[in-house]
Amino acid sequence: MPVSARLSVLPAALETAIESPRFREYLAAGYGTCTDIASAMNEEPKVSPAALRQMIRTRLAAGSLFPIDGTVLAGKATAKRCPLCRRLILDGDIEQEVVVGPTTVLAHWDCYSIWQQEADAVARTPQHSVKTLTPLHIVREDGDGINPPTAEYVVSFGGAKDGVGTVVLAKPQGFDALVVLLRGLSIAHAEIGTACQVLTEQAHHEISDVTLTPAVLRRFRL
Amino acid sequence: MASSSPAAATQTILVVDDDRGVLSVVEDMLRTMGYTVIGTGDPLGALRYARMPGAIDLLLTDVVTPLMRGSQLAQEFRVIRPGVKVLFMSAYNVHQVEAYRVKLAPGEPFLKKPFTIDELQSAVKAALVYRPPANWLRG
Repeated sequence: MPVSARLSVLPAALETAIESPRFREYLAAGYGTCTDIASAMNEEPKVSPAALRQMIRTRLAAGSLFPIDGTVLAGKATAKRCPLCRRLILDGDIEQEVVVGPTTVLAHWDCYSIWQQEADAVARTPQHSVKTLTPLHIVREDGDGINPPTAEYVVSFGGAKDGVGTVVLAKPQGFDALVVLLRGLSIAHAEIGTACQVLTEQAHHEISDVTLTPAVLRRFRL
Repeated sequence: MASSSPAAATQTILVVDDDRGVLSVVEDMLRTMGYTVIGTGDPLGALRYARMPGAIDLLLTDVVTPLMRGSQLAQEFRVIRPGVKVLFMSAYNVHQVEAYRVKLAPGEPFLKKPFTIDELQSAVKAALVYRPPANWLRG
């Protein structure tokens, strides 16, 4: 008896697909109780652990997959699709529920393990845990009556594309306070001299590639 | 000095900025205030988050990002999540951002760069409670 005769409640559009060799193979493998038959028809081919690891590494680097730092629960399979390998999580699989903020991700235990290992590796790399290289912007008000050695400066970082900083670090009053601040950021003596000279003549100066460590940011209560 | 509030503990903010250093600092600042924060440098990633389950109360996005303008991101985000609040941040002022198709409703909060932690907190609080006039049509 054709499979479609046994599943007569299905939409007609699925009937042709149900007769396909791939679906017969699927049923023969014992997955006939799956509730999401349409999804089953679109099941992705199994990827090797090495290929999956590479895919996860790429997605973490691109920011389309987030590091795991939330709640993780193990449970019985719920026939949902694993977003890592794109295959269904079926009976017999262990399903990992990863909750990060408002987002819940259900994944195979094996896929989750690779994700966790790769996310840990990313967290251990220096660029994520130690420092940020960023342009530093120093700006003062411009116009008549402004005395550069005593004026207020706004020191901010970020904003490589705008020519303006994003987050304010401090607002030192006068060159003396500005010099103390720049020394605290480990800016070279010559660079500080250049900054003061430039700011005597114009209202904006940018120092590129300043290293901001988490310790420095904490000092500024950021 | 910024401080956390009980309301913040239940609210989630999605931050989009392609400057990784800035993104990480802004995320930390918002977490200090008590918000749940998701950060991404990729506007398309932000839209993927929009399609995932879970609350997102505020989209905080840069106006100018390389892959997609903040205005387009906000527009597409609102299609997926009609009730979401949006706070734009930019080095440009409110008039200049109109050139990037960001048209703010009267009184709508806006975060001008560079900002302090207190300015960030005030703008986020205001954006979360802001309601545009009933007759306001977004461009």
